[in-house]
Amino acid sequence: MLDSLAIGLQHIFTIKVLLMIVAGLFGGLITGALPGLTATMAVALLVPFTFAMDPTEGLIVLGAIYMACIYGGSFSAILVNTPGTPSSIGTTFDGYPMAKKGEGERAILIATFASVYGGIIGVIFLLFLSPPLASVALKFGPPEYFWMAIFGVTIIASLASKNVIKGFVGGAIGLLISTIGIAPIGGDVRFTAGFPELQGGIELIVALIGFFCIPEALTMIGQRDKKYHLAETGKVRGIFFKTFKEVMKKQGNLFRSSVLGTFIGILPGAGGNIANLVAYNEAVRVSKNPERFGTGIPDGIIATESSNNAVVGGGMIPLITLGIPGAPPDAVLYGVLLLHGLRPGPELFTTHSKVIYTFILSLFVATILMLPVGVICGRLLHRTVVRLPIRFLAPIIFFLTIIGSYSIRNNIMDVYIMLTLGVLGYILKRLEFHPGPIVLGLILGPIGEMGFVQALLMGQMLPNKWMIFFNRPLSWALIIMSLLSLFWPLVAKRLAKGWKIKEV
Amino acid sequence: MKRLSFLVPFFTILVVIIFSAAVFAAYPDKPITYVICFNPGGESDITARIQQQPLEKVLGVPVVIVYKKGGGGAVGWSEMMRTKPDGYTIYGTNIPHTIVQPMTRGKAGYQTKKINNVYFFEFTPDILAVQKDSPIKTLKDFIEYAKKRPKLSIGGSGQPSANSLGAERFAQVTNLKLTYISFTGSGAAVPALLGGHVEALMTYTSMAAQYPDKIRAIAIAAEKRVKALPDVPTFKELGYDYIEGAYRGVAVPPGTPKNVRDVLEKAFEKVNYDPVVIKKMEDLGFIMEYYGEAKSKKLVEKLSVYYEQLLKDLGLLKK
Amino acid sequence: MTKIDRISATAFILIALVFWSQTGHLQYNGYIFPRFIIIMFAVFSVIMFIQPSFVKEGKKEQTDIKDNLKYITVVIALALLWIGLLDVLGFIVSSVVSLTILTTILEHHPPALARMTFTTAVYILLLIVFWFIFHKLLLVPLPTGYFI
Repeated sequence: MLDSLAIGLQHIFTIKVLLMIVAGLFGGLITGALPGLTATMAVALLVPFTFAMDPTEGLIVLGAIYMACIYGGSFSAILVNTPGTPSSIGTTFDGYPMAKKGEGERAILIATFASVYGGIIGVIFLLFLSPPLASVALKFGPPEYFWMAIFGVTIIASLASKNVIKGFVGGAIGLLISTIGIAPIGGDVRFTAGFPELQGGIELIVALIGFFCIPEALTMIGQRDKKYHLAETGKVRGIFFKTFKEVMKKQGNLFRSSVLGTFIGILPGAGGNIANLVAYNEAVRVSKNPERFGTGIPDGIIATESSNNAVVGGGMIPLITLGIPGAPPDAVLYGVLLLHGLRPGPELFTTHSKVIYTFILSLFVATILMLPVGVICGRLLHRTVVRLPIRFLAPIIFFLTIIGSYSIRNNIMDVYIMLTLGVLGYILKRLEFHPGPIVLGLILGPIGEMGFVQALLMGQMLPNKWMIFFNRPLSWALIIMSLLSLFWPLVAKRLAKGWKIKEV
Repeated sequence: MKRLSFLVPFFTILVVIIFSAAVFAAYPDKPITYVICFNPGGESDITARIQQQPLEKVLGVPVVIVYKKGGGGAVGWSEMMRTKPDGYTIYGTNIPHTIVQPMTRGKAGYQTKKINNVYFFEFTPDILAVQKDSPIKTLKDFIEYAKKRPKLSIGGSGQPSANSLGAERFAQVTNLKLTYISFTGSGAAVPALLGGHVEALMTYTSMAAQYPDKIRAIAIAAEKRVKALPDVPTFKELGYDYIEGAYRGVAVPPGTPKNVRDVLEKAFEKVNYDPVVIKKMEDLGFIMEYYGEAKSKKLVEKLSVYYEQLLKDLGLLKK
Repeated sequence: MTKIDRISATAFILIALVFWSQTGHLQYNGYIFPRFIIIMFAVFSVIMFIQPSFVKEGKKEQTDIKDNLKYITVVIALALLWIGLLDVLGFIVSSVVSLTILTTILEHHPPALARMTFTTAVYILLLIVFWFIFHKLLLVPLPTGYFI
């Protein structure tokens, strides 16, 4: 392995390849920041351009784009409350309040440091621990995916801490919306009201834009007395190093979230969209002041941004060892590997070891280079958004959201759905419903339903088909985690009260 | 007045010239959009990527691949019904999807007979697969094993699909009790087998070609053995009348002029004879097919009859 | 807030009933999950309805959301028109027109020809750059109409 790494280093540290990485990073940042363009689409868009390149270099560029895209999603999450990719949903919870308070630059720097950290951890796991971790991916079957969705649902309790019932109603709304379209098992057409376009269901990105972005844009428009969107703060001297030190102090959060991200990335079908919310939930759970989350504290951004970049490395673990994509963009990378005749599996590490190790190493380099590239772009973007008056900013936001929702499936219907959900989201916001639980329901619905129905079919082999959910050790691990996640806040409160009495 | 009367024929000639230019302008003269109705990274996507560069060479214009996933392809195909039939937007099509979806869904947004298939270029037969280290080595072993159990779980991609209908047909001809579990794509079905969550797979030959060290193909639902899996017997030679698989092709919106369809048909045929394309496709486990427009229509008609009967027997036919 | 909460809770329960009525024609595998969700949705909506009677609402900080609904409705209507025009007038033309109109509406001064021309020019430039990068360079399909 070491000699392959050495060859890889030599290949990467040439002007040509480094420039390619930086170009990929820029491209990825921009696509990540634009709501509507996801990492999967960005990677898929650029595949034809890589045909002309040698396979290693093509993979290097795609890897850089992927990593930067996940990070870039934080920009729009922080500045306009719109997750640029579903992996940054959680970044809106604390990033946007920070930006509104005038700490946008600080938020972007925190997101940058966290993303770089998470990316590196993911790649380290990829480099050293691929084979054993990949086999864990296979152990997850339909019952486990169902319990994982249940675990995800318990997160709602932390997201909607102010009004848990409204959170669960929101979650139910999201779960219900997710059932529109074709049933995953059996192929029934559900709730399409006769529109053939709705057979595909409601796209997650469209819902993200509708529930997160449009309400903010409409609020901007409605508040006639404000000329600018974000408060401007004076230049804070040395903000770069101050923030760096601040983030590095939170090793616990950083490491835990990155490991969570890596593991969730390994599971096929789960990706950054789930990882960032699970990491956020864990950060809230172990925090001594959970009520401060959502007001604009660094811990929130650190948890979400480090976990989602760790997914990049984690998702490639099953991809490279087993040929099973861990996250959606990995499916595109799988196609690229196949097209170049590089079949994933043990063969890759022996016959084509140069290609693979160079690629993994390039991810490392790309992540580190993301720091300067991201800081420059992020600061620029922040300054632009702060200085642009609302009368330009709001229409441009509408423009980007319209094009963004169109570009997902090249379908005008999606744009109309986006606007409808936007109006709905605005109404729900005024009714004090947090959008987080709704999109969480939307994400978990398909995973939960598929797992549930598939498991029931599996259970037909047993005397009692419902036992399938309870006769596997991995399922029990998830059940226990769900119970802990649901009841921990109450237990913690009791314990805290207990402590207080003891002290007095 | 004299001046104006001269203008009339002048303008008529001008208009005729412009119109003829538009009609006779060589097709194609701007980029063509190749719509894939499934996820990027899937088999339809990989096939299109293999064809992309050779197509660009033959047609002389860029070919842009875009994705319109949803409803197992139905969202894309129903949109094709309303797309401008100028030949600049072509859609990847799949059988049996385009045949069975309207039959089982009632309102799929399109009708099978309206789909204007220009070419079908490949066929992936179903295979029965088990884990590589399973003691089951032949179809006989499998049937013996299955008969001892009350039910057997078999996974595959999609429902209804070539996998699901194939599993039903297989159960019919062997009198076995199988429970089919559908997954979103073969890429999700294979890990289910490897993890032991299902006991067998009714999947495509391409999976056996892509995971040779992990799954074992026991039998293949084709007329003859395939090059990619020479040691796998066909169900037919083992005495079971079971042939099933997915065809992949390309179609244009209804109303597309004949000259455009001819150009596309010839282009795809040429690409299909390209040795580089053939090698890449066969390495991945696809079987090359050469159904031109007329032959495609007959193929769809023949298969429609077959699937209608099968769906009726299974009680899945709507209307 | 209580009254509004109760009205929305009732609306949710009605929506749940509508969805339930749409599940009649589905197979077992198709309806089992949605029905479960619909029941949960209805249950939580009922709890939301009953909750204010039991839980004393803490002091509500009066959030100053004095949103001007008139502007919001106009913008939404314009956005709908914009989307409709995308296929007719084409991407660049409909966008430039809509963007200019939106910006002019949001101004704090009454519309002035000079400002409008400036705005239109800026947007034309932006749109052309955008179109060039995304349509010509990356070959991302954008809505086309009679114009571009």
